[in-house]
Amino acid sequence: MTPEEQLVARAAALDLNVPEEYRSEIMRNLALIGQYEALIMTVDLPERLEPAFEYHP
Amino acid sequence: MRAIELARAIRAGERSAVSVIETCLDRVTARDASLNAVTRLLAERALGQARRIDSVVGSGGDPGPLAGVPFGIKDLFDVEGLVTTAGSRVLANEPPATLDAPLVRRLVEAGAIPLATTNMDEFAYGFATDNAHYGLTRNPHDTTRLAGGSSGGSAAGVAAGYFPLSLGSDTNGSIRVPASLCGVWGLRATQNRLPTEGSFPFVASLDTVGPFTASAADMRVVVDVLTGETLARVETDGLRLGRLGGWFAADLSPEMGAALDGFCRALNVQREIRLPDVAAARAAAFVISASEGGALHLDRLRRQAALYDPAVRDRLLAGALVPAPNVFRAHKLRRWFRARMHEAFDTADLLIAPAVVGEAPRIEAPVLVIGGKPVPARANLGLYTQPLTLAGFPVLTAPLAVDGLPLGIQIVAPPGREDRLIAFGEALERSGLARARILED
Repeated sequence: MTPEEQLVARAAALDLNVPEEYRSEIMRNLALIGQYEALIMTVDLPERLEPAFEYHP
Repeated sequence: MRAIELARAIRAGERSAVSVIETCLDRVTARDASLNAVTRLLAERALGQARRIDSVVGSGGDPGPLAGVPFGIKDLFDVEGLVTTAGSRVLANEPPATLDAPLVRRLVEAGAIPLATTNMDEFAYGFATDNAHYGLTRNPHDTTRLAGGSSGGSAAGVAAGYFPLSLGSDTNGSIRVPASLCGVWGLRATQNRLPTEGSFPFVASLDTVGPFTASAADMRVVVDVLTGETLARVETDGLRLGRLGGWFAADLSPEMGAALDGFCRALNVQREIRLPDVAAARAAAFVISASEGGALHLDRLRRQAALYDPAVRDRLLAGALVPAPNVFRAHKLRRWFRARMHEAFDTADLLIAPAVVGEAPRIEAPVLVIGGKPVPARANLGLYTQPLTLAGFPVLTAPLAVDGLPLGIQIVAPPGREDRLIAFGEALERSGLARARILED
């Protein structure tokens, strides 16, 4: 799948129609987010660690 | 113009609240064409409330600790009778707010007077206060430079002398970045300590609201009013100070590096503390923000995408497409990073870090040098604020007393220890190490 095809597929799953003229900037943003997602994956986290949805600092 | 001095003069009958408000309205009218910090002047309400304050003073009553002090309100807080725009045209047809947001109400009950709403990045999604609908806010200390964002209008308004106090919000650094670039005090309180009710959300997991002030002494009074509590007067001699190293020591501009070194030398800060995996913590804050922001706006994006600021729209649309497992993992990392932050306080009472890499970037060439490479300033002004966001600990931004353009530092305390932060800020102010930069007439 090309990045644009991925974008369209993910958007369709959300019932979101993304006009073609928006797509290059959205793909640029998705690429940036992808870099950050990859960074998160580098930290070894215990499987039973609770996510911080109910958060107290 | 400091809030406590102004309130004292008004309470003593040495100045009338009406004259103060008239002066401030005139100042905004005269100056703001070049700064664009203010979006709406609240002249009628402000003058009406000022007359009531003067009447209370005249009859020997108590008009409150912030009597007659004008304040600015970031355009995402509800103000009775106004549409809460959150810096967007998208909300233009929403009904006006029927009540003031709790933080606004608490200031008003203490005698403070709402003077203006202030400019921001659309939906608080940015670090520049560069808004496609309401324009760019310029730095009062050099109008060729950014004021920072997203609460840039509130910070610039204090720095410009429009009002000595304002309200902003801080999700990833939106109080700390503009406070640093504009040379004023700013507080990101402990997550959930101040009520976000009555403010338009951005990232519910990370959003906080808080004040900007013209002095640390003002900050104490304002935090007392906003929390409804009296902060303890903590002894600051003997506090163990740690300087955050690693991530927080890399990429500093020569000016910020020298200023921070000088600051730490003056306070004999010997302890360096390195938090682990700061890059991943920043990444987690970024991913949570993108995803929650996108999810919040998803329905409007389906119907009204064309009405958004294009830069914000494209960020939100991308964020809406982030896979859920990655957001889930970011929240797990948040829990993990919080534990590491608590460990950092085993050997220190306060942590010191830069707020931004250096002085305010130029508007025409908004670039920072990170990792030896030029990168867009707008996306990277939160380099040092975003990781700390993830933990939710309280952070006071203090304006260093330096020559040249303003430079700010972050002072971090354990959760709930705003008393320690404010006391330390006051000590810095008394010693001359920190000083807000406010334009005089």
